[in-house]
Amino acid sequence: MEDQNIEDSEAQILDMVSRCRNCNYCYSDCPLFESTRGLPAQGPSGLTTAIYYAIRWNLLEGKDAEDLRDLLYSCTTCGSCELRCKKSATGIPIVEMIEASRRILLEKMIGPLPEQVKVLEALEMEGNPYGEPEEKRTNWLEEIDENLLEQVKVIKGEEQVETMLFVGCTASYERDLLDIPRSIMKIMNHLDTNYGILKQEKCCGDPALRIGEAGLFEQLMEFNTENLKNAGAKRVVTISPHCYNSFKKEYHNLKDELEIKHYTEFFADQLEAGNLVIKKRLHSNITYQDPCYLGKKNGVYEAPRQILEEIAGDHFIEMERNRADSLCCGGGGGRIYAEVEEIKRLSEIRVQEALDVGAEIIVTACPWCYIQLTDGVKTSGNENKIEVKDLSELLAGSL
Amino acid sequence: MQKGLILNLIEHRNDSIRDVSWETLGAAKKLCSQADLEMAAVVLGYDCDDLVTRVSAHVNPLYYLQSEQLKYYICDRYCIALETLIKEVKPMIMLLPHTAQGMELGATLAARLKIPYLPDCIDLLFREGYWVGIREIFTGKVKGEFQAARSNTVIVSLRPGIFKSISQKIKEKKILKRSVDFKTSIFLTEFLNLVEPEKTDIDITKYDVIVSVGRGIGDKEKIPLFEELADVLGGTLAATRPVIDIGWLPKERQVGQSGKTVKPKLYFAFGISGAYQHILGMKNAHTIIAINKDPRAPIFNVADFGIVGDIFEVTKPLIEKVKLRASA
Amino acid sequence: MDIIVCIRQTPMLIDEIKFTADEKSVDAANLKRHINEWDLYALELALRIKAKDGAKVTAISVGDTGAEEALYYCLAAEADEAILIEREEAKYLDNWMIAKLIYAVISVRPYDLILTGLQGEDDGCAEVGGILAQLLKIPQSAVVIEIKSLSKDGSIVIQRELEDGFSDIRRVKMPALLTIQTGINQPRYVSSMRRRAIKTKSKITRIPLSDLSLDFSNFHPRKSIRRLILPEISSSKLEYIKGSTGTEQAENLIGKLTEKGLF
Repeated sequence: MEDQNIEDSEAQILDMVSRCRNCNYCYSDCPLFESTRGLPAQGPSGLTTAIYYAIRWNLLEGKDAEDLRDLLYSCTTCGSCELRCKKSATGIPIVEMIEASRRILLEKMIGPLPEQVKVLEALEMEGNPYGEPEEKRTNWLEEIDENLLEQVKVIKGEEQVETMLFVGCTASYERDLLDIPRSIMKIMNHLDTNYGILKQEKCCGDPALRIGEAGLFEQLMEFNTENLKNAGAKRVVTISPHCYNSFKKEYHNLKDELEIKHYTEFFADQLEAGNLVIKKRLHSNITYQDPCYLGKKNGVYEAPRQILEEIAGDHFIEMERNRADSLCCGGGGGRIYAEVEEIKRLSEIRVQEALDVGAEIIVTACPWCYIQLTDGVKTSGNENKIEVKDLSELLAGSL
Repeated sequence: MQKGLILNLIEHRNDSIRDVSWETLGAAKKLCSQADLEMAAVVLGYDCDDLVTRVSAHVNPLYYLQSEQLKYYICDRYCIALETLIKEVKPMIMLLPHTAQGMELGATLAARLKIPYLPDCIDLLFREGYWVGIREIFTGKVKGEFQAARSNTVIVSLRPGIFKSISQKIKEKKILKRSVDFKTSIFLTEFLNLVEPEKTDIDITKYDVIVSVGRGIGDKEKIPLFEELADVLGGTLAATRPVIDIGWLPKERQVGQSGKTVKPKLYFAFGISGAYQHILGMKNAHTIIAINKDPRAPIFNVADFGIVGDIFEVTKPLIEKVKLRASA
Repeated sequence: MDIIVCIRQTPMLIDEIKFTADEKSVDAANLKRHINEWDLYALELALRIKAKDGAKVTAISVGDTGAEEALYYCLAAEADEAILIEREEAKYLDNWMIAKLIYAVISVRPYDLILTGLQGEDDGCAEVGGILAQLLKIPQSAVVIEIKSLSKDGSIVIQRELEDGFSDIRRVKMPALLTIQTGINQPRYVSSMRRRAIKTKSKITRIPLSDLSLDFSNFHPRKSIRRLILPEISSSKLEYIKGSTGTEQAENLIGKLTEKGLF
């Protein structure tokens, strides 16, 4: 990394963050601020101010830099602050600045957080953040019923398929979440859609980019782009909103070459077209957790709701904070791999909000929301009152 | 013809003989009976007649190299003293335990004497005229026969916790004192002090049930699950060194050679491959239950019950079932 | 101050273990390699001393072309120089020979501290440091877990890890060799961009064996591998818990433990 590049980055960041008026509107929407001690530093403009002075006063070395690192890496990157700043103030791309600062810290070998080092090494060696062997990525298919595999083509070489299902690392390796890809396969089966799964799928690169490893992200991006294109894909459907966001916003021009859909969008389209018909309605009270990377980052709020309203009708109740006001589960931005200060756990706050509206099921559309909220239900002792289900599970069960 | 000699280095600290020394003597005794050899031992120290007397009850002759310079173990002084003795008694094998001391001393002494060194052996044999040490590599997933080049003397260090300690006492004691002349030596290493283990809030050695985790659990977020299991079982959480090094748990929870030695009734090992440094700290637990997805994990060598499978798929129902029983 | 750090790569055993035809080594052709974990801690220690007190850090490795990656890593991490003593992977070198090769190169260079990792992840011999110290006739301290102080009078106070939670403190006169234990610090992360860019910015000094002033006629291993064995799990007391699902296994385990009155 040329030192020159760091200087340029610093100059750019300074330019942007110096536009902060310190109006502090962003604090009310920040999950970090909500879940910590409430120090000014633990909020969006607090972070940008810290970055400003760190660059101005040359504090990006030594112990001060480590403190800054701990602060910067506790941001969930949910983007609530950016939405608020755009609406009510000068529209600073706060999360972008935080991520750019993380890149600088990482290049200077001060970041990332120690626990994230193994994640990056695993991503580089095995193409997934868990360090699981890359040859075993598609082993989860062995646990799926034969009849569900009929429509699937596992792309190993020259096979061509128009619709690709990008499974993602969590759904591939976390057996706890096997019902999510399984449900999606059931629905695809029901729709009689032929689709492919890459044998050589690597992490979309979101964790790398969020943690500040832009070089590694590029390697993963190139790998996946080539494989998707070689398979002749015209459309890619993702399970995780993070993969969705990577493909749509961060993979160079991929969105111009392929249609990129989150599975909720894909199935909502099918619902609208009349190809999916809900046969069994759900009578439990359900509510929906908007994943930050689907909602706030990409504006996909209604597609999941179309599906859930069909399934549950009046039993679908919104939490008080929904859509762009939704509360982050705390898993994004690389946080799911590290221990970050959380006086009040975000997942527990959210579970309570779901209970407050009388929900018996919290529906998620993101593997990390699923993991975080499931954890939150347990740690708050509410296992008898509420459970977490992925939207795909409910949809598959309603056909 | 003179029988070949096995010379044993006795390791001691703070006026007590370390357990590993008895194991080394035990290994030597076994070798002597198998291969028609004799054994002797050496204590280096100062003003430790009690210690010397204790050792001499098990091995004859016992050389006592005495000097104020040998009050504390320091590599260079031990090397000078041992070199002289080795020249005198010409042992076939010089045995020492593979400890922090052994790691420092073995290679250096061998290099000084320009002789072969077989470190960290779990067995020692004589094959076709060569000394062969059996060693584990790749944390025990592979075993190797390491052959020492032909030499009048070979230095071998033995892994702690493998060999059976010597127990029989001998009838005739023989202590041979030797003084060591350090006159012209300049010492560049100085012992300052010994640091005792820190007192901590949590003492995992006091628990009957220990749920221990290794790097195989994947990430820090998974720890609460095992903490829960420990809770419902009325036990405590422990871990292997790598988990401590990376900061997932505090040092007081480390089980192993450089951590705590535990002897609970039940020791659950989740995602622990079984590096010997860890095994040393828990092998004497009453019942060891190992859960690992790798059927070749060396931990299964010390386990009473083994489950080859996904640790999370076992732990979750295990917690539920234990809770059920507790409420019944 | 001059610090020399000895590093090497080790193969990473993930799943399958295959031996070469002669059964004398693990077939590493398809195995990924990374820098030996202990060496990373040694490197980090050197770099921190450099950052705090100023030092020239030289990384040295005996290896084949693959070892270049490891040395570029060191340079990207801000080591000042990297030396590769070129070897053919096929020819067996025991640890004594490796130490001797390193000795041949560094004995003519200035050094105050030589740092090595305590041991290799693969062979666990913990030898090279000790042999090197003896060849150089400098004091050695193994299993170092902390540097207490570095003083201007040329001595260093270190803490060594012993067993059972004990440790000892020593003062050592430099030049000295220290073998470093894990946990002494938190090794830094070196980004892929840094690692890529360094290849255009810095060079590795390559030294072929023929350049070394060593008497190769007298250069033989002091130990060699007769053969490798894949050990079977051998425990007479081991009982495998049956079950086709985790739930079944959990159930059966509780059953067995109850049977034995342990519950």
